[in-house]
Amino acid sequence: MSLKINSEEAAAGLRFTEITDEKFNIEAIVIRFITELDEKDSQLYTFVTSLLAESNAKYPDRAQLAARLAGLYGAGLYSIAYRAGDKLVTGLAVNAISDSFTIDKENISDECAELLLDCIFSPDMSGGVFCQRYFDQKKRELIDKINGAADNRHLYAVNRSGRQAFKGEPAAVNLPGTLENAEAITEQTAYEAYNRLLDSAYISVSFIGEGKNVKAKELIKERLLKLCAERGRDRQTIRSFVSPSKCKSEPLKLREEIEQSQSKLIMYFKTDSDEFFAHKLMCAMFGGTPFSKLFSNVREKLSLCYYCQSSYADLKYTMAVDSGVEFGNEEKAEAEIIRQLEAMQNGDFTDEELENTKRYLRSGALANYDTPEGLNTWYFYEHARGTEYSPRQVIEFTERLTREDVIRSARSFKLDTIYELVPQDAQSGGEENA
Amino acid sequence: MREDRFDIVRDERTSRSYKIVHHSSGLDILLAPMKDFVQTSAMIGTKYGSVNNCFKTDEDEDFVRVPDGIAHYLEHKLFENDDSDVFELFAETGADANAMTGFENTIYLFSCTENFCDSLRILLDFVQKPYFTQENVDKERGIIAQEIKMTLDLPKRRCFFELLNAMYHVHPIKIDIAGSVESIEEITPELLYKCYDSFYDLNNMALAIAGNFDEEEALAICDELLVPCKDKKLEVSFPDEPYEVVKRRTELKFSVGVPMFEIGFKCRPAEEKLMVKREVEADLLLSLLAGRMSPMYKELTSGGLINSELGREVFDSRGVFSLILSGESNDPDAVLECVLKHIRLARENGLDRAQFELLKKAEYGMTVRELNTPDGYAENMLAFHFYGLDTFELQRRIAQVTFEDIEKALDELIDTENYSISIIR
Repeated sequence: MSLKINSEEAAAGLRFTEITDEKFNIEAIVIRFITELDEKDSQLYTFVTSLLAESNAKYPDRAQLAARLAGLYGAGLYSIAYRAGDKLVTGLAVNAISDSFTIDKENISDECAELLLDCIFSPDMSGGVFCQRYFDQKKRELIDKINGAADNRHLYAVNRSGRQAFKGEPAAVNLPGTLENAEAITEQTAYEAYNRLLDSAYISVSFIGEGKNVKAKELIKERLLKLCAERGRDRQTIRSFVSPSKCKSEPLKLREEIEQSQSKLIMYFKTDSDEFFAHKLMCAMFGGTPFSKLFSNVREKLSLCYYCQSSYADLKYTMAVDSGVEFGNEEKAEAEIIRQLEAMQNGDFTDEELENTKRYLRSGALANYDTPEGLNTWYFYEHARGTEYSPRQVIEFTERLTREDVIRSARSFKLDTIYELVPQDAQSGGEENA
Repeated sequence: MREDRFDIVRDERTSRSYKIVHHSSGLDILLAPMKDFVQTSAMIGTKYGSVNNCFKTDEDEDFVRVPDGIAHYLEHKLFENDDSDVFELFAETGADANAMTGFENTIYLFSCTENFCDSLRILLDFVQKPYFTQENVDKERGIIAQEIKMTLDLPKRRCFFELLNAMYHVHPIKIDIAGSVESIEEITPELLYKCYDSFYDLNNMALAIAGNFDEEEALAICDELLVPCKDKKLEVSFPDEPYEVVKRRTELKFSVGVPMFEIGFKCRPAEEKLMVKREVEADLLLSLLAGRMSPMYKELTSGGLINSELGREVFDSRGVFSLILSGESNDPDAVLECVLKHIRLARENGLDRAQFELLKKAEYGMTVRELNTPDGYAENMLAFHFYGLDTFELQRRIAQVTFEDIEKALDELIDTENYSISIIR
């Protein structure tokens, strides 16, 4: 294995991470802007980065940019936006096959890097603000997205419940944002947000792939170092995104109705313990594998659902249990989920279950070594947690955990929020009219 | 020395290769060692999917029609042995196992980073040992009913199946892979055995392995566990599907933020051996007509008829070939008009040759990426093998396709009188 990983804080507020392995046949560059989650700015930053990916001053027409990307062997250039704890991550990324896999060994990696930089630093402007050409389209698209938030009922339930589970915290901020704020965005406010983003964000850049794009890396580094040097003041380096969410004194229970066929049930449990590795293991044993407590009991034994799974949001110290159940069975499923967590708390699991789960996690962690995406995500979240562990190191820590660690982890979780999204009319999920 | 026949499949340009062993049991085994990788991915599949609902073997006097969704139900139930749950067996090896049923195939797979041989044993053992009882079949019904209901809450998926129902009169492609809550009520252990015995014949199946594994070890396990099947002379029947669509428009209410649409052009099905060629041509044609560089896309987006997403899909199967455009719009009928107008304009004015060359390059890049993980490699080998082709066929076809082929495809594939639009609002 020729994997090499190198991270450096290149300047105040600027971090470079290089992940290279000769077995990969692509080169990817991800530029992330990390800011605090905030109701108004998060929407603006997300909007602005999506606009930047549409065109730039050199390729002001979307079709021109698409043609350029096609000519670079179908390179992908796209914006990113997601939440990590109480932080917002926005940015742009480019990826393409590595130069050695092009038909005539052409150099496309430098051009990909230049295209990415042009999109970020040379947007298509008119009269000192973003050009209206795609501004209007992207604004309409944002409004459509907000209006269509419930189209995917499962995601809608996840978002709605998250707002309640993290009420009063930045993590409750809904990424598409509010309709009112979206309608108020102008070319001017968007351009101001763009400048604010470049000026204030902590910037984390990852280079992932075969690693032969030396000049491309230099181009990116040089330009971002210049940006940081130009910024008016030093930006604080973010060491960790961890921001534990405090458990409510009494669990909150909410029920909403919507036109759908199946109820969506989401439960949140919170801990105040920082035993990250134990929580990951406990959560996997509880509901993160096809042989977990939830899978074996809620799905297989009671046939209550098709999916019932738990996931641990380590940056918020929060475990979510997510399920789709027949209307009318919500209480039964809730009771069984609680019963299975109690089983974990009482140590009602075998050593075999414990070892099998460790093995499952081991396999999952090692699999990250095989894809650029896996390694990119792994090391980004390591940084978000304030650590630098490799998958193999995490496996070692997990191996050392005992059943007592798992029991202690399970006992530290308290029920915080129960959210049910139930069908308005249990009989129908749609009606033919033409 | 092995006596099984084998072929080496090679990509001349990259010198990549893999081996196909024609095992004495009847199973074809596709082997692609990737020593630099940590993972190994193994998948065994059968040419049996949701569309195969009418068939006969030499044990039947006439064709048997089975309930909708039975191939998918069978996939669920095969994960249960007489004495254990298969997931629990995989838990002991650390492998991540799964299965999936499609329109034409059912695939059982695992990926692992250790204990490959033990996991391969489990895979080969459980797919050859069905265990269906009234009790365990009944137990699964609730789970699958919830899976079906989950998909009913996905408006995009419903829009797609509504489109298939508007386009296809009798072809089983229009039936949801999992069937319906009602159709799965008819499924019995006897019917499951009937389907299993007919389709889970090693001659009708293939095994693909890619990643960090030892070929000889894998083949030794195959020698030990594969049980030759008697050829039952399986015949599959498909009804005669008329050329014309059923109806041009269908609409369903489902309270979505912005109406969703799927526009499908029903084409004449491709001959099996020409399927990949046709797919490549159709894919490039759709990109030229409706991709980000096209005048159609420009008019749709700049006019505000759609947001920046316009989905394109070449949807094909045995006896089915269609070109589909999808997206969201407050005026799907105006989108349809715009699409038809630009197809007519492309016929009158011709397609863009320079864009064709760029898209060919982009397609080539896509094929390079697909073979860079054990999962992707195994999946590709299996999918192409089921069409009697090797996984490098796509790259070869892309290299060979000419602008004139695409111009011809525009005439042959798209009939602007033979389309349907499905709308969800």
